Formats: sequence, C-alpha cells, structure tokens
Amino acid sequence: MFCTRCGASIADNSVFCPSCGATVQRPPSAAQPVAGPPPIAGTPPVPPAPYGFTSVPVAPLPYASWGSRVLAYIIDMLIVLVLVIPLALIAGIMGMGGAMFHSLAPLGHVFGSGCCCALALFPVVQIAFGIYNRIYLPSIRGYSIGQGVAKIKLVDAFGNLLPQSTLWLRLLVQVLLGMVPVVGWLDLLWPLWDERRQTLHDKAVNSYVIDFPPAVAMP
Amino acid sequence: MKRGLAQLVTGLLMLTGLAAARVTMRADTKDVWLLGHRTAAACTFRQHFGVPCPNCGMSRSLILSMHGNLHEAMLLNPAGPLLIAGIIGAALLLLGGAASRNQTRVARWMLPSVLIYAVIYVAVLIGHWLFEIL
Repeated sequence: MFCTRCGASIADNSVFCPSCGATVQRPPSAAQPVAGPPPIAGTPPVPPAPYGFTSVPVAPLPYASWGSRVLAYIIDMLIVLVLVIPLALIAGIMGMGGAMFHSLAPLGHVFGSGCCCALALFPVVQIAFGIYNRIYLPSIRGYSIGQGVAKIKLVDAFGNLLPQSTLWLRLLVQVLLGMVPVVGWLDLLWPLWDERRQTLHDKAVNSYVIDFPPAVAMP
Repeated sequence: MKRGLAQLVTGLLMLTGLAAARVTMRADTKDVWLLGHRTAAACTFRQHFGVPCPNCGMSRSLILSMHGNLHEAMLLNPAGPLLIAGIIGAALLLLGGAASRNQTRVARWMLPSVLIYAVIYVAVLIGHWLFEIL
C-alpha cells in the first residue's frame, strides 16, 4: 500500500509512514474494506488494499503534462481578457467623452462617472469569473473551461472531485504565492521537476491534475 | 526535460538574472540608472491618488539591495531586501534539489518554507505601505 500523504510504499500493517511520519488512514470500520478509488480511463484499476486500508493510486494517476496545464492557464486568462476588453472600450469611450464635454457639467459628469464605473468593474468581473471558473466548475465537473479544452482534470489523491472548501484554499494559496514576484512563477514551473507534476498550491491541498479522455469526463 | 535539469536551469536563470541586473543597473535613493541612462518611471497609483502604492520604492530598493546598500534599501521598501534574499534562497534550494536524489524530501521541505516566506513578504509589504500612508 501507499502513504496517503507522500505516496511512499509502506507495509500493510503500518500505523505510521516510515518516510514522512503521517498516520496511515483507515476506514471507519476495519471489517468492511473500503472500495478502491474509481478507475480512471486508460489506467489499470487499482486493487483494493488488504485489511481495509485505504490505498492511494499514486502510481496509476495519469498526471497532466506541464504543457497541458500551461495551455489551460492561458485559455482561462484569455477568457478573462475577452470579458474585460468590452469594459476597457466602454471606459475609454466614457473617458474621452468626459474630456470632450468637460465644460458641459452634467454631460461631462455622466461620462466621467461611466468611465469610473467601467474601471471599477474590472476587478469585480475578474473575481466573479475566477470564482465561477476556478471554484464552481471544478467542484461540479472537475475542470475549468481552460482545463476542459486541454483535457485535464483536477482531482484528489483518490481520483475524486475536490470539495469547494479545498478549491477555495487552493486558490487562496495560489493567490498568496502569486503576490510574491518570482515565487508565483516558481509555483507555476514546479510541475516541471515534481514527480507528480504538482504545483506548490496543489501540494498545499494534496490535489492532482490528471489527463482525462473527453468521453469519460463530459457530463 | 529531465526533472533535475529543469531545476538546474531555473536556479541558474534566477541567479544569472540577478547578476545581470546588478551589472546593468544602479540606483540611489532618488533615481534608477539602466546602462548609465536615468530612467523616469513614475508610479501611476501615486500620480492619480496622491499616496504611494505598496510597491513604491521597490525598484530602487531591489537595486540597492543587489549592490549591498541594505540600510538605504530597507528605508525605501523593506520588501526589497527580503525579495532578493528569497530569490537567492529559492535558487540555491533549486540547485540543491537538482543535485539531490530525494526529490520528495526537497519538495516537502520547500512547500512550508515558501508558504511562510510568502506570508512574511506580503505582511512586510502591506505593513510598510500602511505605515507610509497612515
């Protein structure tokens, strides 16, 4: 069997992982063995662990390549850009109008206020779309719009979808790391040398990004 | 690309970038020079709102830190020396990770370090900013 925390191979009767020291997770009742994680298409099914221990399919998970993750990231960013461009155009037109009709008090104020409103909507649109695309969609189907195009999926160590609380924490860690120059890039580059191709914000919540065939994943 | 090679390249690029910035840039408490030419970049946030943004003084602070003027750098923006120390530390960790055979141990050690560092960095950045505007 494997440790649920670090993935190291451990003896079936172990209480603690000799590699990382984590307590071996057991099911609520040892008499009723827990079924193994749902099989992922294209990978061999993982046999249930003996003695009812929960095994982790560390080896069989088809971890997504760094290129697929970057593609998904770029697509999600482009969608934000597409949403923001109309706002930028509105803000620009309103700003120009405000400058042109500066002498006409009511009209100039209307244009000026419109420009400010459009600019204020920038972060609102980004945050709202981020919550929908990075929290809501992965919680119900496992992938954001960009991840769906790149045919990759966000799961836990057992291949299950992540709950919203975990997705919030994952996003929070990513935002925190992104606030530090260089560290944000390091976080995105981390799958290049990580054995499970996780980013640091993946590691923080023990999530994995895997490949999936569209026939299985499309609801 | 092999995992160790990716770490090695990233770590070396970070150190090379720092070295290149140190050679090509210099600063005092007022201005920044790039290849001997004074740059005239002003903070848009400060121009519009009349108060500094959290990153005000960061360019000068970073360059002064790279040249060893830590006291002046700390006065301009204390996040500057912290960022330089973080970049050097991360680069050395990556180079160490490239040489290490136990990648899992490196990753396990790296994650809490980076998280703690990020929290400290953001706290210093925001704390200094609040101190400046209040």
